[in-house]
Amino acid sequence: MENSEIIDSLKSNQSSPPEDVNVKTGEKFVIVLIGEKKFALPELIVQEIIIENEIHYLPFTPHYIRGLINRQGEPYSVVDLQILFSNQMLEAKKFVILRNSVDKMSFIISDILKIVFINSNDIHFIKDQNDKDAYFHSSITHENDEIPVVDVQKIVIRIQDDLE
Amino acid sequence: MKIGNKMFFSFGTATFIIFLVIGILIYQYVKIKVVSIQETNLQALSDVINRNMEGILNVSVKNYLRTFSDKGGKIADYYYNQYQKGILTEAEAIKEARNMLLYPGFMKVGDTGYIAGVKKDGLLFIHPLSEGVNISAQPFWQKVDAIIKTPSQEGYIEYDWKNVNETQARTKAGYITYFKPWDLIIWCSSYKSEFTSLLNKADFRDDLLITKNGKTGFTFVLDVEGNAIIHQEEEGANLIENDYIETICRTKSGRIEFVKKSINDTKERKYIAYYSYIKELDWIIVTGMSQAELLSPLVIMRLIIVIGIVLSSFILIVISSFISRIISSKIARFGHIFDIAEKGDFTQKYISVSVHSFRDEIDDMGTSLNSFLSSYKEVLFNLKKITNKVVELIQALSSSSQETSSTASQQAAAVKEIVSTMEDVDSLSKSIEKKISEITTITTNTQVTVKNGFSKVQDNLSKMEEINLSNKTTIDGIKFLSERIDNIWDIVNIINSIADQTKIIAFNAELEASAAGEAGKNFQIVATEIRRLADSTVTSTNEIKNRITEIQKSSDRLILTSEEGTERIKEGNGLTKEINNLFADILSSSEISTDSTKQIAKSINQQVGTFEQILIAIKQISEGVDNIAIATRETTNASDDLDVVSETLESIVNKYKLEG
Amino acid sequence: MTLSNNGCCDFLNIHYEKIEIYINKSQFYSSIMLNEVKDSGLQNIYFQKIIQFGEQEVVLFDLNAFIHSNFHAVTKGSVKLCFVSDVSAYNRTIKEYLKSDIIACLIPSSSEIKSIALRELKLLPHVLSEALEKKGIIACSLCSHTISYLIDLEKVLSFAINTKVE
Repeated sequence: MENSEIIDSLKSNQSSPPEDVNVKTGEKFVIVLIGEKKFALPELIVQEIIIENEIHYLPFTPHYIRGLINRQGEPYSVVDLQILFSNQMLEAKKFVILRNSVDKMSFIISDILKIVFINSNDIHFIKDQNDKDAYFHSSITHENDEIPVVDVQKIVIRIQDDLE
Repeated sequence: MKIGNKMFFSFGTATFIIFLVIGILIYQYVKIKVVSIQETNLQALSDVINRNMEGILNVSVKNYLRTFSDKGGKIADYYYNQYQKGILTEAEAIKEARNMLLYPGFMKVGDTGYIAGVKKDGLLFIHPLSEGVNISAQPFWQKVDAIIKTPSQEGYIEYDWKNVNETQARTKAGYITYFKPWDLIIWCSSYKSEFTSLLNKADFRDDLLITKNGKTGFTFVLDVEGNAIIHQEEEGANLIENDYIETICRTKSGRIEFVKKSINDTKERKYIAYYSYIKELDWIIVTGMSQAELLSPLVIMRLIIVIGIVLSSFILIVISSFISRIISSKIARFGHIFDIAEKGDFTQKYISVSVHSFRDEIDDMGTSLNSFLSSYKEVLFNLKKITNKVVELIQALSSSSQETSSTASQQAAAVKEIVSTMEDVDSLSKSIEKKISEITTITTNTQVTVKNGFSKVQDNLSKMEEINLSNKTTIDGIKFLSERIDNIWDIVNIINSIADQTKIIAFNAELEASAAGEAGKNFQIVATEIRRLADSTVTSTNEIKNRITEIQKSSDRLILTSEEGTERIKEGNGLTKEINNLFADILSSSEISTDSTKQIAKSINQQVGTFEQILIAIKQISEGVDNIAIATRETTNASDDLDVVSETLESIVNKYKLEG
Repeated sequence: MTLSNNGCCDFLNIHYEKIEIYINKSQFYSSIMLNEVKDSGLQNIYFQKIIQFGEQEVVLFDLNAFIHSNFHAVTKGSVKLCFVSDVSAYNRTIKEYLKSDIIACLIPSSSEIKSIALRELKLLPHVLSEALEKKGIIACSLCSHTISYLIDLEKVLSFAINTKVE
């Protein structure tokens, strides 16, 4: 059996292709702690939080992709946002599993703080994009903190660019 | 006998004998060789004469036969011509020729010889006795065949032949000529012995007589009857009466020695002769010479050998005489040196007069003698020095022994003083002994006191140990408590982690509830409550953590304080131990002191005893010193005797003259 | 597509400390022990040796070194096994570089042939799969405590040849 046939067989057995989830600017956010900093993720994009998973090294990938973790027998890539934002590896054991809209990807985080409902007034969209804000499309205000909201698509685009 | 004479006689006699023996041996060897050569020459001469005679005979016979053969050939040729001319038929011609050839009066050859005609195939065509016989198988036929093949087709032949009426074969001589027209060999032959008359001895007599070796050489011819055919002195005479002639005629060839006096000689001489036999003539040729002449070359040699022996002996005598004189003079010099040395004069030396290349063993011996004499002189020098030294020492000994004698007396007095001093020391030792025993009593009491104190200190020490032990137990208890607190930490951490996981589960539930939308609203409330429960659990566990931390800090402080207390107790314990050790030291010291004073008392007691013994010994020494004084006086006398001896020795050594 | 043994396929399973490598059995046809190694004269560190395969001399691809350096894999045991592959159907770059239709690949001696059910294999996350497939990683498996990668030999060779490692 040739490898091409194996690949075709695996693709056919795969679950339905990732659906586009209409990520609204939406009301609920998951606030996570990455290192000392807080970041927000739209709740709709967060599938699950898992802990204590071993990261398996994956070659030929950018340095901020730490490897793969095993979630229910499926391989999920692990993106270290701290490497991406401040070039420092995060020592942590909790992972945010993203929904199918982003095929089998996870972020490594220090802790999950809360899931909050944010009024529209407290959601601020970032208009002028410079390098520092390349990965955030908005920020939210919660308990007097200005928390940036991670733009997952931009993360995906960055990954695709780096892989080419 | 002097060495020169010894050398003369020994070397001379030996050399003479050796040369004589050599000379004799050489003479004998040469003699044998000369005789052999001479006799060989003699024999050779005899053989030559023999061969000459035979040659002469053969030539005569050959010519004679040839004449007849030619004649026969001419006869055949005449009749053949007759035939050719037609006067006769061939058969008539042949018949006429036969008749002529066989006519005895005309063709008589020798006594029994004849002319025959033989065909080329060997058939006796014309023969007085054996016509028709074929002789081609005879051994001599090959010679005939060979002659026929020569260009001249004629030649001389000798062969053994026996006619039919004869019993024994004899040597026959023949001459053959081949007559070709009738294929006929004209064969003229006769027995060779019949041709002696052909030889005219006058032709060779003179030559034969002068053929000889040396002055006494001779040659003569005999017949087998002993008649002298050719002889210098007795030709024609019969000499068979002489033994040697008889032997010659009997043996016919060989060598003979005989004694004879020649006509010209006054005395008999010994002769040696070789003789050989000529069978055809029945003659014996004898040639020889006197033995003296044969050995004449040895005379000079003998003379030379004798002269050589004498001359060499003379030369040897002269040389040996010269050498012996040289040796004698050298030995005489040795004698002179030894004579003078015997008188004590060692200043003489052996001096060699020979040139360096002619120095011999005697000169070497002289050199050795010189070195021996110088070594001996050195020994005597040293002996002289030593003797002088000995004399000095003996004199010194004599004076010192006198001093010693006086010193010994002084010593005796001094020893007596020592004796009295020792008596004082003895009484002093006794008083020390008494004092020591008092000290012993005191130290024993001290020891008892120290022991009591020591036991009190021991009790104190054991009490301190008990305090230390109970303190240690307290500290262990506190440490145990601390460990248990650590275990509580582990449990708290487990609870914390469960709370954390619970919180995650709550969040996941909330997420799922949100995703479920309206249907998940109630579940969301439950999830929120679970999250709150998890939060309060985390808060409680944090409180527990804080409390436990305080407890831990308190127990740490307690442990620290207890350990400080333990340190104090240890210090106290240490001090008590030191006091204990000090008391122990004091106790052991007091024990030692007591033992020591006892030892001292014992030693003092022993010392007193020893002093008494010393006193006795010194008294004995005093007696000894008196004896020494006596002995030294005797020594003085002995040294005086030695002095006399050394003077005698000195006088002996001084007798030798060691320097020139 | 053909399946063998109820959805199973035979793979060469190469064992490392915390990682397993699968290679499709159809990608090689023979194996030999490491023998008289000579220098190939090629600059690439993965292709510097040649070994004797029968009467031929074939280039030796140090696959073990490749996996060790790229996958951060720790080798278990000795490395003396070589499998031999026919590259005649591979792309021209590979054949031109090797100047031969055969290549030998060096792997740890503890490798084995294993029949694995296809359901155990998973494709990589979509965002990564295409890029990784070009470099030879086509699937993975998380059935055991370790992760297993299915690699394609042709793509690995192409990547190794084009890697400027000297």
